[in-house]
Amino acid sequence: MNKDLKDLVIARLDNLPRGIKISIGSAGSLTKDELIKNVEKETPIGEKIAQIQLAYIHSFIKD
Amino acid sequence: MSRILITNPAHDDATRYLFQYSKPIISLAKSKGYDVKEFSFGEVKKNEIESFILKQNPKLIIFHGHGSNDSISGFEKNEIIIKSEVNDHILKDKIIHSITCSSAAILGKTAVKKGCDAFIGFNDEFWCPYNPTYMSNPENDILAKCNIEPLMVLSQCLIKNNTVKESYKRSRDCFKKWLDFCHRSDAPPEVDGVAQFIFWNMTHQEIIGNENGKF
Repeated sequence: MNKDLKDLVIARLDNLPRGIKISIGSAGSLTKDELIKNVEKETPIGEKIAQIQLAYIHSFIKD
Repeated sequence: MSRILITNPAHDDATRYLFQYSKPIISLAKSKGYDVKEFSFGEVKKNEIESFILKQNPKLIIFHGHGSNDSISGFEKNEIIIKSEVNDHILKDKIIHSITCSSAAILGKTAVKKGCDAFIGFNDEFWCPYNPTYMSNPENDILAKCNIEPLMVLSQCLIKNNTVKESYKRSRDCFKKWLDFCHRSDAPPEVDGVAQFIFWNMTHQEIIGNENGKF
């Protein structure tokens, strides 16, 4: 994962509310800190959260 | 009498939330005179579900649970209750609302090839933020509501005899309502950063099969 992208994704995750958990199907539920660790380690969950954020950001860009 | 089957394994946080949210759905279906069968907790086993579908022939099935590209799980994720190319043929002539991860990606497509009328579900993972302090009253957890309410709207619309296409549209409208809510300048801080998940879930819900199908 590109370093700039990783920094962006982590910064945005850090903005999530305190105490939040996120259920990711059969992978279970992760806290905000666990999500950030997954991004830092570039696990499949970390890659997916980057994909989710990029898709959302792209939705604001008009063709 | 038309029958509805609902599965509620309720074995972890996400499925316990769905269990709670489905109570009004079951009440609605019963109030409309439908014969509703709910399998919950340890009852959500492959043999029990298969047997009920084959003998009782429910026209609408609402699966709450975990899933993968090619399967839907029951009580505990290792209990596969429906699997592509194994027993997906038992969904023939039925409308399926699969509130599970990813099952529209492969299972929905093979089921429809084998005669399933319509399959509505996610073609990727369903990401659901929640605040665990609301575990005893999930309906008050706005974080979860943003993503679960649109799914319940879809089930409700199907039960109210809307077409699959109209039910899907109303679900999408509900996702958009929550997206707009999260984008407002006066949105509560509890929903900061949650819009990305609403957008993801909204854009990965898919109809396969007969869009004009009705329960």
